[in-house]
Amino acid sequence: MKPITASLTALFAFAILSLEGSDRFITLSNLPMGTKEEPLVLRTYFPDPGLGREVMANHDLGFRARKYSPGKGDVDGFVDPIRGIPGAIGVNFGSELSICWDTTECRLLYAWQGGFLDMTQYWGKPESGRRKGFDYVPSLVGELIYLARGSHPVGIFDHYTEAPKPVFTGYRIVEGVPEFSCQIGKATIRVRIEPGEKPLEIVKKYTIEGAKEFGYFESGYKFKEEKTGPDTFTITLQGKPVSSEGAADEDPDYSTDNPNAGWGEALYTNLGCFACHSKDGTRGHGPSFAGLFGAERTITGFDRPVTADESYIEESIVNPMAKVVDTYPAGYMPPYPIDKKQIKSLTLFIKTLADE
Amino acid sequence: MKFPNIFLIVAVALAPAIYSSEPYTIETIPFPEGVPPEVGAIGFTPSGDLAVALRRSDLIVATPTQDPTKFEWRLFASGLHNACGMNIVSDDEIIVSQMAELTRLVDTDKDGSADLYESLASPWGMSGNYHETNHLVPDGKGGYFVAIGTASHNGPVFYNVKGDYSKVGRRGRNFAAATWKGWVLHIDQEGETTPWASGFRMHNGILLDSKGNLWSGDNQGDWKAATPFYHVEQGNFYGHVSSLVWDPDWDSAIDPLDLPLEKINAMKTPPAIQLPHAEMNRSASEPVEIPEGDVFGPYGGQILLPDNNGERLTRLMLEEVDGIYQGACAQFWEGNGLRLGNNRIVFSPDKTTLYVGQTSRGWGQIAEGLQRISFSGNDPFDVKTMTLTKTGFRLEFTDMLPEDAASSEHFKFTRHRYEDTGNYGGDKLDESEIGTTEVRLVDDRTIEIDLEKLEDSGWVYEMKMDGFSSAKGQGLRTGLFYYTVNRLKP
Repeated sequence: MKPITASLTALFAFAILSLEGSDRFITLSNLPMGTKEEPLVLRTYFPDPGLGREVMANHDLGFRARKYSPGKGDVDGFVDPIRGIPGAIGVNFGSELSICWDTTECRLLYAWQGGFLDMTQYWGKPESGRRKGFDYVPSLVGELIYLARGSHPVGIFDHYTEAPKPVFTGYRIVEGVPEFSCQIGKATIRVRIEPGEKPLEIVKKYTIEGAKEFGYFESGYKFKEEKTGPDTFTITLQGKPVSSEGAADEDPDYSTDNPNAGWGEALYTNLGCFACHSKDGTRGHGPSFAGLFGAERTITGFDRPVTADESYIEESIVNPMAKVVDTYPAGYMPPYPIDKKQIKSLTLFIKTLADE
Repeated sequence: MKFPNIFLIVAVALAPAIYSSEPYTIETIPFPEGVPPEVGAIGFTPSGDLAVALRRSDLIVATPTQDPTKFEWRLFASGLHNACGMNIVSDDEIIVSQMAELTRLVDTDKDGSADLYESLASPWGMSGNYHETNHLVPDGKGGYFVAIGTASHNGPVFYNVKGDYSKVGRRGRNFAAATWKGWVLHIDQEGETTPWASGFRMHNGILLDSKGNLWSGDNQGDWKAATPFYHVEQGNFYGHVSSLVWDPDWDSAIDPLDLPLEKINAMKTPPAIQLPHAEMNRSASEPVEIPEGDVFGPYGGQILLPDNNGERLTRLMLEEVDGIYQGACAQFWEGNGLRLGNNRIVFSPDKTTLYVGQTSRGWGQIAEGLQRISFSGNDPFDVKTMTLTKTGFRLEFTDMLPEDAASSEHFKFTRHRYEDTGNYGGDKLDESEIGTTEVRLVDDRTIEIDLEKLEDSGWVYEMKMDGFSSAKGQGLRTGLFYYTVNRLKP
């Protein structure tokens, strides 16, 4: 779904905000980033790119609720939950690696490359400084290279009953990198996660205390395990572009009564459209959505321009090869087999960006 | 953008009849260039540095300077998710309540910034709704009281919820879909959690006063007709029904939103003070006790309650009547260079200056930053305390009164009451004028006023006062007061 290229690195380089010779404060910029030498830790709401229930096993499930009107109270219709992760911590090492580590599951949920987070949805536009919109979950900038699957990768084999819930106990900054700490039963697990030496590598340095027998297993990813001491080991995980098949089998139910732009915006994040189609006019692998709707498009192999109306956008989602915009590569985007309401919602969302 | 360094306040020129800010001055303190000044929490370290937790991530500190533009800010901690409560333990250790947990920040290597972020406790849930912020106050025994705010219908919840999710708690305007929303929790030194009190909507600020009483404001809205100020006691329910779903003794078959109003009214503890929304305080935030003595003017021991949606700080005069707390409110500060968005306040270590942190956080108009209000040392002429008598009210003034002050033409009373419902806010009900039967000078600083009608059970008495100065000719600083009569003097 999202092939890796080096050009993205350059694309996001502008977002580095370090102030020369002074502390690095978070500023009005909605694209905060760290560097490999000085990683940036940020606790916020995180997008959920398709984590399965087996990964989010210690979370409860939100449920659809009746719509509420401030004037009338309960009204017809429903509000569905949205995808998001409430209590995770992000770490950005520059364009090479970003990670999302969760304090409820006490594990790495996903990793990506390119940029870090676009906080606009949560922090608001700099001019107004306000939370914006109904869905205030930040969006990922870059491309997913790891998405957790299966149960917790660290197995503690001291107990043969069901493993107790992990309890997050905090983190310590060691040489600039947070070392997360959690308790599973009597065992203490500490882990530092950093970029590896090779492209797409993620290095996890573990210390496990209070457990006699433990092991590591990662579902769906190649990894190398190196014992570094009696209580310590290092996992070098080989990341890879996360295909749509890598996402959860048990997707939460997104069905709503009517297609709407808000839903489309959620899909824009969750389906990964953002990786190639910007919202602000920045050129990516695919054309930006900014100012797209209603514009005249020059199509490779067509004599005359085509207007980007509803049918054009719907066709481009279902059959991206039908009309490829001039100067963009053909065959880059896979077809997205999503239902009509989702297509309609995405189209409505793209429509909202017509004036950008 | 440039702010004038000092707004010198000239009472006669600027102030409306009911209010004057003299003899205080206000200054604006800038943050580093480009840093959004969205203040979640403020406090002083033992060595006198001011620490400010900002919404997006950072906790910054600076040594206050006389020139408000010369603060040199440095980073103590970062990566925090909307920390709205802060307790400074030492120069190297700060406890914050962020969205997900109570976190201990420690600078173990003494290089000026925290390297240990220890999770102390995380008993509450997170639905994913942006509105669920928390505030804390130390219990004086190594533990904390934490106020757990509810969610807003203006935002959704997530599929993945931290803690437990309640479908029933999700209903309504402000809702308690995740564990312990709408509660005050007590977390002891060992990290053990005790649910303390329920029924809160958005108690954005709690206080443990010097006598050991726990207080909190709350925000006008559903189940809060006006802006209430509560004396928070263990086991009590304060009216916002959604929180009840997390009461371990609650019958899960009952949707609290379906309870009859009489039943809810019988269950709930009324506020010690009702602050009329328009006139006094639209959005109560962090209450703080004014230092004892005269160091910040004549109001020592009273409580200041900032308005997060008004250019004002409200002064609360509490007293114990028939075993419960009740009292009066009046404006301490209104307008005169103070921004909207007043969220957190703290007194400087020498107690002469009040620092005010502001944020708009997605509601109201943009209003954010840091200001400070300093006392000149010259007392204003004002009502120091308004207390209840068996027949009316007693006003103690800060200075000597002229003989002719004790005249009924200077005092106009009305009264009204409120009814909390599931709808947003509430009007003043049964409002009527109340005549005075006698106004007398008790001594050279005290006036007593007898009223035609004085009743309890939540009547709010409005007093408007004007038409006289002090014996020395100093004008009255404040002229509008509201006293909430929960109980009559036995």
